[in-house]
Amino acid sequence: MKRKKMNMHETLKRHWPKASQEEVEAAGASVWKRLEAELDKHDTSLRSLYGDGWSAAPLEQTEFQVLSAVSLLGDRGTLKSVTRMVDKWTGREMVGHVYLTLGRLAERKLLTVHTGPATADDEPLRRYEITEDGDRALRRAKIEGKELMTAREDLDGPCTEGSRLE
Amino acid sequence: METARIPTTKDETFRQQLDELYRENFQLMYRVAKSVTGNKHDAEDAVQNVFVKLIQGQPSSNFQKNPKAYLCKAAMNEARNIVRSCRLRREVEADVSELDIAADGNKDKLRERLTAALSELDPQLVTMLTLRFDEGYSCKQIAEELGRTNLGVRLNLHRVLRKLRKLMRDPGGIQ
Repeated sequence: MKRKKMNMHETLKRHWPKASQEEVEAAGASVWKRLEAELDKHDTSLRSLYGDGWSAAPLEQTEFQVLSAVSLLGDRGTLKSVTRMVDKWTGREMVGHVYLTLGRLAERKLLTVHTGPATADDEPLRRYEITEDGDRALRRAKIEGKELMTAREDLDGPCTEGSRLE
Repeated sequence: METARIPTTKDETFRQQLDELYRENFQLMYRVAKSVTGNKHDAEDAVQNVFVKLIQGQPSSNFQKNPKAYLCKAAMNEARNIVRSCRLRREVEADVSELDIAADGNKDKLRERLTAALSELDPQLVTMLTLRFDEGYSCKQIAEELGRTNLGVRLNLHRVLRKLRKLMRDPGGIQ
């Protein structure tokens, strides 16, 4: 016996599991409440749904060391004091690297540069302070497992970039 | 010793992104999920699972390309998983009786077959059907919503209705 052909448009119109606007809104509120509870269980302060998954800037190893030194030194962060600290962590003279890195970090707004009054003999002293974005970048680097002490071979790259702090 | 940090507005970035994503996509995700589960509790669970996974870990690169399509597909897959799990049979049956449709055995069966057939379809097609039959969108509106061509939507709907008819007549009979 030939089967009667199903009118799919009619069938779907009548039997589609519809949801009223009120139902959708109630469900939306209920699910969001549960999601908020889930959010409270996780530290999402550095996360982003887009890009590389972070809402904090990435740091290379030298940048991490320089920014850490600036952060630790507070308002005493000068080229000299930052370099001294970074030298200890790397076991070699880093003044060139530090100088360039400070410039890069300032450009990326991870630290701010405060220039003191000029004296007769010397150039005005620059002080470096970490910004909120810089602090977030440091937290990211720590989560990623970056360490302050570095093996010497990590630093064999040339220090050739032009000055950025002029 | 670490000192306690005061949360800043930038720490809220993830929550704000999630909130925005949720407000933009919940409705369609829920409707798609409900078309597969046939009941609101499982549909809620399906959508919740999708967002919980977003909270717990970074989504795949497909998410970045088209978040809406990714979320609808994910909701559909979650709904399918729920429907396929053991507890689904009990709950779908219980829920069908709650749906206040005519107490006609044939209608109940038809709805069950529809729900089962929908769970076999491609998520994108179920999204189209949801927009068409739940939200009452025209083909043109569906095309705009999903970033497709009008002709493509018409063709897809035509084909999916044919497939659905076959699935409802012979469950599991389509490869």
